[in-house]
Amino acid sequence: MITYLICKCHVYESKLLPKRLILELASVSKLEDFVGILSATIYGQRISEAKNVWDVEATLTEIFIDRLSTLLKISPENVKEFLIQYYRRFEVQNMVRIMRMKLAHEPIEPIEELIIPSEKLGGMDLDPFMKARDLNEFMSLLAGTTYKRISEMKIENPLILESMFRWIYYRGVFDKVSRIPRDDRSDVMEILGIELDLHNLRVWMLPILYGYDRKLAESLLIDNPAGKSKRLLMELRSVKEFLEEFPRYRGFIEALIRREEWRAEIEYFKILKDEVDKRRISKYVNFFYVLKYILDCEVEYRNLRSIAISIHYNLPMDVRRSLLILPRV
Amino acid sequence: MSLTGIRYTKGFLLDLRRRLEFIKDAHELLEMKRDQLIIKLREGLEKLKELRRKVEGEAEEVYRELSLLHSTLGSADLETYSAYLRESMDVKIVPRGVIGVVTPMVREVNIPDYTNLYPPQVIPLAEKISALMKDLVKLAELEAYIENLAEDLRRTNIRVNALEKVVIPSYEETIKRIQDILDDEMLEEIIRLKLIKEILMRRRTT
Repeated sequence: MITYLICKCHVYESKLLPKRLILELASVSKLEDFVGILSATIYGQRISEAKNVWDVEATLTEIFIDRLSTLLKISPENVKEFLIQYYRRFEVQNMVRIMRMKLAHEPIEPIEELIIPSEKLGGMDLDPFMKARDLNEFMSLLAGTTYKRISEMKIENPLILESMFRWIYYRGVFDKVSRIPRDDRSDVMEILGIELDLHNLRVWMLPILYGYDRKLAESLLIDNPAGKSKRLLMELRSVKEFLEEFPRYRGFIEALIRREEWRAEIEYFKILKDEVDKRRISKYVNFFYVLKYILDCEVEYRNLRSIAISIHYNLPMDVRRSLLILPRV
Repeated sequence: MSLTGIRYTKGFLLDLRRRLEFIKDAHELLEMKRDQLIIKLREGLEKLKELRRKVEGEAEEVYRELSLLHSTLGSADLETYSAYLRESMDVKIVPRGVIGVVTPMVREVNIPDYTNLYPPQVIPLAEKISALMKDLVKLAELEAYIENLAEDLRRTNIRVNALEKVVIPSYEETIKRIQDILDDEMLEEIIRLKLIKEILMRRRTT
């Protein structure tokens, strides 16, 4: 069964847009042209109905989630269990967004517009959370879920709550790694470890770059069983030490130092993509290839969204291209 | 402009001269005020040009950062980040006088602190917006100052011109007219006295 899933991923991968087309899309000047070109691809009819950049964004999100949910339907039970947990990252994104909106006392309608359809990915029903009267009710609703620990916390700083959501997510996904084939576990762990390393790096640089409280930054760090430990990271005090300790994240660290958070976001995905692509040949018929396909889907989604929004802002062509997550040559 | 209630008397003439003296002093003072206003206005306009250039640069930078961040993070995340800011911007304004012109002065600008509050992704944008807001307040203060100064300059100019072209000439003209009439009267009086003297002399001789 897992072979079927891997083979299907190879088939689906062939339907991803080639780099040439992504660059062509990045060079158009009008959103209508962007939609026109995209309509002739696999995005077809659904994208052609988009009238503005917000419609485009929503359609791209829907298509991206549909692609991921298809994998659940053809996965064997054990892998499905892992994938559902892996996909919870989108549920966590949703929870964080709902929490922020509740904090701002926003009504349900604008919240609904911000939500990724994570239920299609095996996530829980988010309606009660969106309908919660306030943040306290939102927190109490968490008691009956995986995020129970958060409901017991005091709301001192919402950043800590956000971090807790991520901590619970990563703890869950590391637990479920045992459900995937043995050959792939270490590679999957390593990719998750890189994600956490980059998250922790960004957090631990907050006091250096922006004068954040060191204690707060410490509480935002997430244990990383597959990367650098919190203790080791906390010993680093200067940018030089960061660069020495993490030479492969140089691009990411340099973007942070230059206070180009947007570039750091792109570097984050470039690093992950490079790491996954490195194993492309050796893991050609492994479960890891499924993970590679998932990341490719996300990269394509982010690239298309980024192009659409940058066209909306009328950003110059070279800037638009610099926003793309493309594999390093 | 013509003066009303003119009396062709020495007392009235002296009073008019005193008034004219006072008006001329006032005119001189207003001229000095006008010159000072022009100097202040020029300085203000220079500062405005500089500050406006700075604000435009900052606004461009904010727009650039926002568009780049929006493009990379998407709309949903960007929209929810602002929820963490619980305070709102607060500005305290007091009136101040510059050469008699009352203009608003921003005494305190309280921009909410985002340190320890925002996720790292949006801090540079928050920093830039914060700096822009501070300068926008300064720009608004300077614009109001210049507007008030210009309005006062316009009014002062009208007054100076009115004094210079209407009031002072009319006073001078009235004074001259009274002076002429008084001179004529005095001449008549002298002639009359002379005639009386002559009549008296003639009577004495006959």
